[in-house]
Amino acid sequence: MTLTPHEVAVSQLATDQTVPLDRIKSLRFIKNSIIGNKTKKDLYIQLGIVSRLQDIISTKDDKDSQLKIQAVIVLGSFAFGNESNILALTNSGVVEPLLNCLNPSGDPKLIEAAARTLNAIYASPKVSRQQLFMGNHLHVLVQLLDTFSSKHRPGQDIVQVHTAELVASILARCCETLEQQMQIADSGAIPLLMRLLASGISKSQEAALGALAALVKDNPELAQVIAQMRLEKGERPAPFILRLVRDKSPTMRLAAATCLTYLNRAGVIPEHNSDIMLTVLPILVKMLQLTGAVQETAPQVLAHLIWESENMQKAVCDMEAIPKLASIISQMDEEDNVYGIVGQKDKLKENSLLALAAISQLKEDCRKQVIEAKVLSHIVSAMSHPSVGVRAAACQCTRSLSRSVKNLRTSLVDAGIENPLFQLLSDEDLGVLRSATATLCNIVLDVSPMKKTIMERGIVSKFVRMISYGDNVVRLNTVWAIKNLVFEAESEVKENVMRQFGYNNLVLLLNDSEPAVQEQALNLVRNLAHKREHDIEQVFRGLGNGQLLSIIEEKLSWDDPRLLEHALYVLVNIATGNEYHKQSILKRQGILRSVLRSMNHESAAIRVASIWVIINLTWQDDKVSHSVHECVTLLRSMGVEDRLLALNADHDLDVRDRVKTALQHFLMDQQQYGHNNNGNGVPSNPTGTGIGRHGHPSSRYHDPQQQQQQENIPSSSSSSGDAFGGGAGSAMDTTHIVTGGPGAGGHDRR
Amino acid sequence: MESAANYEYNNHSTDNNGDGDGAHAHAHASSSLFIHINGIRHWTTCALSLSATNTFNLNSLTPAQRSILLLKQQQQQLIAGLALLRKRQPLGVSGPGGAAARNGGLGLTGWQQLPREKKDPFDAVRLRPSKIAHLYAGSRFQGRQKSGSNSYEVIVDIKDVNLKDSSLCGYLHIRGLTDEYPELTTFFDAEIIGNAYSFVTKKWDASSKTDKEHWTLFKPFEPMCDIFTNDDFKYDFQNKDVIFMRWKEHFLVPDHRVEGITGASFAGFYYICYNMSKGEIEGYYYHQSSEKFQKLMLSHVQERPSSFGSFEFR
Repeated sequence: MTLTPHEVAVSQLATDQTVPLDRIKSLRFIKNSIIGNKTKKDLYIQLGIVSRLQDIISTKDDKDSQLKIQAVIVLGSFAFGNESNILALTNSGVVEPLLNCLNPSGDPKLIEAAARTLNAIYASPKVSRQQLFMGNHLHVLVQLLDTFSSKHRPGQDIVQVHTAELVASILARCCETLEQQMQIADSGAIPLLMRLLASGISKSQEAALGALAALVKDNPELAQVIAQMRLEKGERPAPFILRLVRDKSPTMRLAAATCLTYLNRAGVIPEHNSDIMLTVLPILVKMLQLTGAVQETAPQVLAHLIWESENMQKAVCDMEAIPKLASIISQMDEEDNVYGIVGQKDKLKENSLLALAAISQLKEDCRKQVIEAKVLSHIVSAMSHPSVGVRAAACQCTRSLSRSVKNLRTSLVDAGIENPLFQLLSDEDLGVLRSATATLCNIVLDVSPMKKTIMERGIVSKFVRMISYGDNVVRLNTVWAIKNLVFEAESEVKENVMRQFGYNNLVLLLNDSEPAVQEQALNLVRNLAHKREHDIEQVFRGLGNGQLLSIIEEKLSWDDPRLLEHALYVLVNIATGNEYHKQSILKRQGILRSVLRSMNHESAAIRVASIWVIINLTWQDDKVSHSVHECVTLLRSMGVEDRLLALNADHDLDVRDRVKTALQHFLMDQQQYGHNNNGNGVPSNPTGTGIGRHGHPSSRYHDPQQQQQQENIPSSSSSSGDAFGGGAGSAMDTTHIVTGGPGAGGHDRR
Repeated sequence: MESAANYEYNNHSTDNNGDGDGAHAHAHASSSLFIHINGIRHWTTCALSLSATNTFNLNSLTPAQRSILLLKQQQQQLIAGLALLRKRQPLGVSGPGGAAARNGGLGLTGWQQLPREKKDPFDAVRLRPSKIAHLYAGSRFQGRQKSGSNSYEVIVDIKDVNLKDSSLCGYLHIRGLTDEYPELTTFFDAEIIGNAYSFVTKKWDASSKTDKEHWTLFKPFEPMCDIFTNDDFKYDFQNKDVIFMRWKEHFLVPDHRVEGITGASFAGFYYICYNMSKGEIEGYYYHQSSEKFQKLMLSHVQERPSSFGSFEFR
């Protein structure tokens, strides 16, 4: 039996046996055999080379750095571009000795090699970054960014510059958490990165941009700090980086565009909005036609830049980005079919899908372009892709596209998205689950033919599991989906949903820790109580009549506009019910007071909602029934009619139209029942305890506007746009509101 | 939709002139104070921060002024650094070993190892449903369409309103148009005349002459008769009693795949005028090869008392 040269080489690395020169020779031999050769790399790892190398780089002996340098280089070669090898290295603990090799008193070449190997290792997101932030490592690392340090030795410039670039790259890869970003900032890296940025050396500038981008990503605090800094000539970083966006090197352009994107998203460079639109956007779109890493990353940056901005989405749409992205995606699918290589370009696919999702997020025109680009079938098949990232991105795409009645009725049905979507609702990845549940919200709308099929597959039985999944976003999406599902639904559908979901769960959601969930839960109650008396009765029974109204009363008192509008419409809908339903509202002084207060709310939509409550409560056929008369009398005694008269001059047309209808009801009552004995047109409560405003002339129905001017109520000035601000409203409240006690609500209304 | 002997399906595209005001970013560039993130510990970087702060010439100052300035700057840095420390301290949970000790136990390493909060990019700009008078999802209009001596019963259900996008859409049901389909339903979408869409149609075979002869059929249009073709003229529908629209039918409901119905066509479009306070819609159908001025008259179906549900795209 004999040893292969590889086994010999590995055995010669043992510390105690061989003279250093032979070991260096062996290392060179190994280095040359493994370059670009995956099989050889695997072989050596099996032969246990990693621990040998680790021994070499761990020795305290600094006399001959050559051996260490070679060992570090070989480690780097193993790490380069192969995630399983990287994990083999990190599992045997090479990170710590590599970090120790960065010791600034050591050989600069060793430092550079160690930085290069660490950079290759940190290319894998699976490697823990923890060690870097322990002990003195980060401090040492950051000092290496300082290429003008006192330890400057002639001939070492290049090495130092390379080291600084590698360190910047390492830092860029170690900004995964807020904590990491802040620790790097605290270590004094930012000014050094700024200096690297202004160094004029292309590669250094790119590396600095990468690190700065990673530091400001989703971190407005650091973004603000960096945007407000000055480079050595007094210039702010943003205009400087804007020039780099036009650099001749594509990688530089991308790095600069990325950095500006994150600064822009943090909202710290508003003065450059038009530069971003006119310069950065077109450059990113053009990059879609390049190849390699730039093409792969550009769509992700593009997506990040244009989310939430209608203008940018439209601009990108006009630059014909959609056909470009579509052809990237469909070409990739064809190649996969031909060569059977799946997974090679997952990132490109994921990023391209994300870009499409971002472009079609807000504008129907853009969605239309995506449909016309014939890419939908590829998006749908990507929903079942083995890569988690691709699945999530594809789902975001369908989410954007499904925000359209037209698409829900046509292209999305044709493409058959409900099958893969249903599968994704059981995905183990949280990101996928989040975007799948979000898409579901649109698919279950009444305009979607897929609602029926997805219900037949048992979506309702999944809801309970989804709200107890333990994720806020999934829970929010679930209650949102239920709300959309019961919108305009038949009574049987509503009952079926609530039977399976349970009113106890609804109560939990109404009192959820997240206001956004509460908002959706209230909207769900609103939709459940919508349209039919039977449906209202079901909600009363399900929640218990006392509890339903107590919840509404509580939500109204919060004065949160999100909750307020839905809470008011719950009342609007309940007030379309039978006498019992109406009485349950009228019995609640707190609710009536909140309605009255909302009539002066600054939002016209909320004023309209509160007036609808009044309209429905006082609605009558030709003849005003006794119970409606009592209701009108009660509301009048609380000052509702006065408030309506004041709103006659509201600046919002919709409000004025609703006020007309409501006042009509009061007028009908007055015509039938007269002026309630006090002769001056001021309504009073039969028990005489209501607090009305006395002394009004009786002509108010005929010229309410004039009346209102006489009263000089500031909140109803028709000239001022924000006439319904808080001050005026509260002033009125003190005048008008019944403050409880044996007032209007106390008398016998039967 | 109209009755027709010949039918054709033109999938005309809507114009790409929508205009949004997607105000982006929440900008707050405040002080230009140079905040050196780590002013306390890294004096090596001080030189840089100095050169960075000063936009005026240090040499023009007396030595005393210079040293005061230097002190002030160092103090500023110190304050900024302390402010950062203070700001983060409550978050501090002791981090993994060494770093915390090195930072003097101030808990600088205190962020829990949470990934950065990945915000849902859909949360910031929601597609809240619009509601303006009788134009809201779930609203219904009822009336007739007159075509020559014939008159057909029409119901319009509004399905989605997006005033920000100057658009709405819905179903148009028509009765008795053909024998084969006693009741036909189409999906239509609307361009609301305003910032995004002009009175000038420029598509669907409509010339400016066509535009004029149709729009002028609506009384409220009168004041705009002579100016509506001006490039700088924009009709602001916000807070007006009258909203003008173009309604374009696209496909049949429930089955959008059905192509061609003998005796009916929806290749043209409607000029629409909605009167808000009356709750009425008046419209005229236009298609090159159809009978002119087929009139649509609809009024809002008011259920009293009225109930309102609400949905929202996610």
